[in-house]
Amino acid sequence: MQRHTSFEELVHATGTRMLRTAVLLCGDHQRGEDLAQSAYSVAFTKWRLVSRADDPAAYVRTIMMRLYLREQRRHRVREVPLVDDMHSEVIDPSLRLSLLSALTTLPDLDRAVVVLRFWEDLSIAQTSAQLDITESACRTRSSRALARLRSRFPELAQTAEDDIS
Amino acid sequence: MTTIHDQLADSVGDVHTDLSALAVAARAKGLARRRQRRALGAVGAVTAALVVGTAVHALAPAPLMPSTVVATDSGAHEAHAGADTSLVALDGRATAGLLADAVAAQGLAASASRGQGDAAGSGETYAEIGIDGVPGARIEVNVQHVPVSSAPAELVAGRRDDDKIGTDTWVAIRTDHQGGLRVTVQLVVPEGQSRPLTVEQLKELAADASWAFDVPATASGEAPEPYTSLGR
Repeated sequence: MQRHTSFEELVHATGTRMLRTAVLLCGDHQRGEDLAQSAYSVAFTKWRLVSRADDPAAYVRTIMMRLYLREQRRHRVREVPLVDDMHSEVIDPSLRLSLLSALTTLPDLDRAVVVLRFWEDLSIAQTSAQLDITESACRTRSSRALARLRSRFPELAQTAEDDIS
Repeated sequence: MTTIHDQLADSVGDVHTDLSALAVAARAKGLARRRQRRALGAVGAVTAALVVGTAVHALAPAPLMPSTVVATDSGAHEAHAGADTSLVALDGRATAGLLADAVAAQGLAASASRGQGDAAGSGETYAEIGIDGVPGARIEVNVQHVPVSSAPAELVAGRRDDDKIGTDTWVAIRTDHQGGLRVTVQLVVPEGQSRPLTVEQLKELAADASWAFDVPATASGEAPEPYTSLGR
């Protein structure tokens, strides 16, 4: 893995990709930039560890994922009435969303799974380790997220994950 | 052949940002974090909480209700029933302890607990506990310091549109803008299991006086880390 002699060098080498990952997670550029900046600021405070890590970019990405999930949990107040409408979702097929918009309709953890699996190209094992979930949960979330995405964004490419569901 | 990766790349489009500016901003933010940690470490977490608490106490309106808990950096907490000037810093461990106590008052025992203290002076703690005899069920509490406003206090409860597979989630949220407090209590139960608590009992937990605190939890000042397992 590439070694970075300075914090600035790490940001320059990994910043653009990290920012795009953050935008995919947050759904908009501004929030994505805030998330990436927060992740790098934490990385800066742990520079001794980050710089010695086998893969400093992965270290920063892990920080970013944890910050993202933590922030989402903090602001998640999606209340619904006592009536159970969890399984009554009806999707108008004429309603086409962009993939970025469709991503934002996924639950936070599912979105993180999709971004890590298909944007960062991590394996199931790596993704589950990064998100602190089991591999089977990761597979389930991945295939469920793809199914949901496809219902809103039919052009989504096929993957091996589709076969699982 | 188009892959999802390509489609995701297309959806993000070109991201232009000044990486030098990003590095400078991140460094400045990181230095501020580090300074905060050093300052807190130098005077001791509890002392820092007292200093910050004194300032906040002087500026803030009267507390929601008398403080009942003092949490130290070692995680111990002790009750000061009736003390109306106690300064309170809830860390994750103390929050888990409080939650377990509150649940015990409802006739249930905690099987395990874990908590996460405030990470960056944001005034939030989180804890969750398992319930003895109800496998897979857990109760989570999130205590936040919220901006003071003139909005009235409210306590709402209902079923949450949960994102976990095979679970049902009920939630009670108490917000008291005057007290600068938001308490979110969640009950997560595997589908098919009976609920160990009613929604009314959840509301009682959220309304519990123990959650009143007039100082954002700034004791640790640590960067976000995985939860601390307490293994009650």
